[in-house]
Amino acid sequence: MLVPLSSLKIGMKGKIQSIDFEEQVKERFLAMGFVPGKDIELVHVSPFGDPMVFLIDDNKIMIRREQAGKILIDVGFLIETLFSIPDGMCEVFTIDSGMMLYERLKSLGIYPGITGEKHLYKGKIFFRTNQKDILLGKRISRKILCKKYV
Amino acid sequence: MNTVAICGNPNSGKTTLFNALTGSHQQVGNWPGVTVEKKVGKFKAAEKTISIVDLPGTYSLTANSIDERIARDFIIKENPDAVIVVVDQTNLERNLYLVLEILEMKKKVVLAFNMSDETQRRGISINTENLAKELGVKIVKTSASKKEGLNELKQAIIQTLENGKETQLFSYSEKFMKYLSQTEEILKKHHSDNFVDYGWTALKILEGDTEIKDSVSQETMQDIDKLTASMSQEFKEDPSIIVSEEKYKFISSLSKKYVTRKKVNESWSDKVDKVVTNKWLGIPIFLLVMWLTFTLTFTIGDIFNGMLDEGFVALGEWAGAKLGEGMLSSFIVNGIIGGVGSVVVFLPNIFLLFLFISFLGDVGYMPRAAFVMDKLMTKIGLHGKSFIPMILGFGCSIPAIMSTRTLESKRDRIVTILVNPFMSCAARLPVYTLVAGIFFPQNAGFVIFTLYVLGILISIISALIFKKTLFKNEESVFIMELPPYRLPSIKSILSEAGMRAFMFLKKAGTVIFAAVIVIWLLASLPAGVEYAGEESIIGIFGKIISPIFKPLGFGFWQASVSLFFGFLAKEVVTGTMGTLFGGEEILSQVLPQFFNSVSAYAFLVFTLLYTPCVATIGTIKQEIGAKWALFSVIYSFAAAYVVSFIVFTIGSIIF
Ligand SMILES: Nc1nc2c(ncn2[C@@H]2O[C@H](COP(=O)(O)OP(=O)(O)OP(=O)(O)O)[C@@H](O)[C@H]2O)c(=O)[nH]1
Ligand SMILES: [Mg+2]
Repeated sequence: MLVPLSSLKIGMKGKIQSIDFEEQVKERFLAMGFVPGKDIELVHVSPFGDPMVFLIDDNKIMIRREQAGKILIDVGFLIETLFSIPDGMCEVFTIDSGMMLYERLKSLGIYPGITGEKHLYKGKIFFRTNQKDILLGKRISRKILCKKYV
Repeated sequence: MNTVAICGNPNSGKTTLFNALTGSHQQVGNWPGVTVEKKVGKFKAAEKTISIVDLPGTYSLTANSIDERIARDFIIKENPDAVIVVVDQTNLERNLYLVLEILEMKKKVVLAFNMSDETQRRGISINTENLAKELGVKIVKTSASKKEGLNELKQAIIQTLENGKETQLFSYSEKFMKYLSQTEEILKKHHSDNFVDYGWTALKILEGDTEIKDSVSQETMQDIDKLTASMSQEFKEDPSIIVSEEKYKFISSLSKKYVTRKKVNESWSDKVDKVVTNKWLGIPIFLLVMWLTFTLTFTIGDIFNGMLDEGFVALGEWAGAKLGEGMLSSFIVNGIIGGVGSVVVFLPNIFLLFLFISFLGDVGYMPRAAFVMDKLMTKIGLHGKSFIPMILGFGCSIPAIMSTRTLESKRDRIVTILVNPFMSCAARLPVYTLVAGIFFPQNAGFVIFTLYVLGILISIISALIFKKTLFKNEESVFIMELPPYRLPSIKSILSEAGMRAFMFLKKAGTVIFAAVIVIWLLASLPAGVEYAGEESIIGIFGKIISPIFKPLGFGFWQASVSLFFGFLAKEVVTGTMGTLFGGEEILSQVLPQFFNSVSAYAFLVFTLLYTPCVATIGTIKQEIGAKWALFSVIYSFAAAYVVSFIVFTIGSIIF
């Protein structure tokens, strides 16, 4: 999934995908190491929230949030609803609903942080976790956000 | 004599290497942008003397800021016989980017692979032999700070000067080479003999280098523009970016072949950074660092300057007794010992202040301070990078103003320079310490602290005013690297502070000494007048200008002339009073007849804010022109006048 650098939390990593500045600024960023294809990690954020320090190779570079917003990176995973996410292993990220549904899913063994396998059987959505297959309706599966590494 | 230039990425150790080769003491510090002008030296190798030039650091030859332009222009226009590119091995890929640019100019190049002592700890190993072969240059591993690899480097320089070959353009992707050779053809067709190197010129034009573009005819550019347009279409990128990316692709292939990295444990530098940049701890730590710097400067300094002071008093009495009454005695006792002595007493404070500033710089705290403060600085119309000059300004405004050369935006740079003199420099310290010591003996430290804070406040307010009135708000980019913390060697910070202390003494022995002689003469003439009386020349002059200062509470003529001569150097404010009244000891008895505590404080405020010294004005003129220098003179005088007036008026009502 492509996200702007500015949306990272400390410790998150990705691969630089594209840099969207006017030519001169872009060149400066390139010369200082912001090169497409490089691994990059957010390591510090200033106490005032801006600027941010990124690690590229072994080198710490700080830039402002505004510029970080114009650099897209591939975080190596995607976040989609259980409904739309491709089949296979994924991790429950958040559940976008009220307490009732949250508790119900939890009692079934589905809560943020748990990993399981999504698969379809006869057009129905199943989530397999703890050796149990749980059948989920379309409406509910649209409320479960999952994270999938690619 | 052959000339070689040292260039490389900022903070790669160029100046450290320069110092090690030449035995000089140019400023070194652990932040990017320490060196902002070129420095020349000499060294001997194989019976030959070679002239060597240290340049500011730069990430690429497409210069963005003034310091980078100096480096770039030297390499391109002055055409040194060889270039030593200093490479920080812990950051190889980015450093190689500049290496490629310089190699492509067909310079004779030696690569100094520096920071060898750090690579092992960081789990990096580089096969320099094979890399050297592929690049076609000599690579010498060095550790400039440990003075390792210097002889090998010297040898490599000699060999390269004698029979170094020029490097050919590297082979980039075929797709790109096609366009490059077509550009070269166009250049050759239109300009058959203008360029030393068509390949490089073609490459630079594709990169979008404006200066080089301007040097070719319009006709040529039209042809090239057509070509680049179709290149951009094919690559879906701006031409300059295509070139950079081609370089990085090549570098990445080099790195795959010759570099291996092992995972290593988190370094102590990273651990420290987590604390220093922490959301809750970052700001308290920053304030603590600043507070410690000043407290230590004063508390430790006071012990020593008390001792020096007693020494000067004793010396004055001894000289007075030996020489008896008379002109000569008055000259030595009042003039030299009283005047120069009252300034030299503060040597320990100045030494300590520079010691701490250089310690902070060498450890690597400066970029962290810029990191913590950027947001606030932007709010007031400055820039994170402005913060380093501000801290340096507590030492001396001149290097502080020079260091603004690293700011890319002209607007940021002008504002940073204009507000810099309000940061209270070390030369003002003698005045504060003297006056505060006499009028606020119980809390002199606190009073001095309020002056520093006031200086900062006025610079903030001024920046805000300039932002609103003089300049349109333009968005500027902030990008700066945070080098790892490094333990400074005690020797290097002592030598740096020692040099500053020496410069201070030299100033005392020259500018201040000369000023004191002039003042003593003016106070003794015309012949037969009472020394430093109202009838002396200086008294008459002082009487003329003193009404200006009456509304501020210090309308007596001695204060006026002190401030007047303080324009030469702020220490002279103290020196003048010392000369007119006698040394510090006597001043403490005399001054209370003229000042009360409110007017004394107003006087200090005025000294803090008013017109910077001549040397600073000269530097402002050199950096941003006579117009702004004049503006600075007028603006700071006005600011000083207004603020002192407010302080005196309100103070008089309250106290
Ligand atoms: N560990 C280690 N540190 C070094 C070495 N050479 C230089 N340093 C340190 O690296 C920092 C930067 O050194 P400088 O010589 O000021 O770097 P510069 O390239 O002149 O930097 P700019 O003038 O800012 O472009 C200082 O803290 C030096 O003490 C080395 O070989 N090993
Ligand atoms: Mg340097």
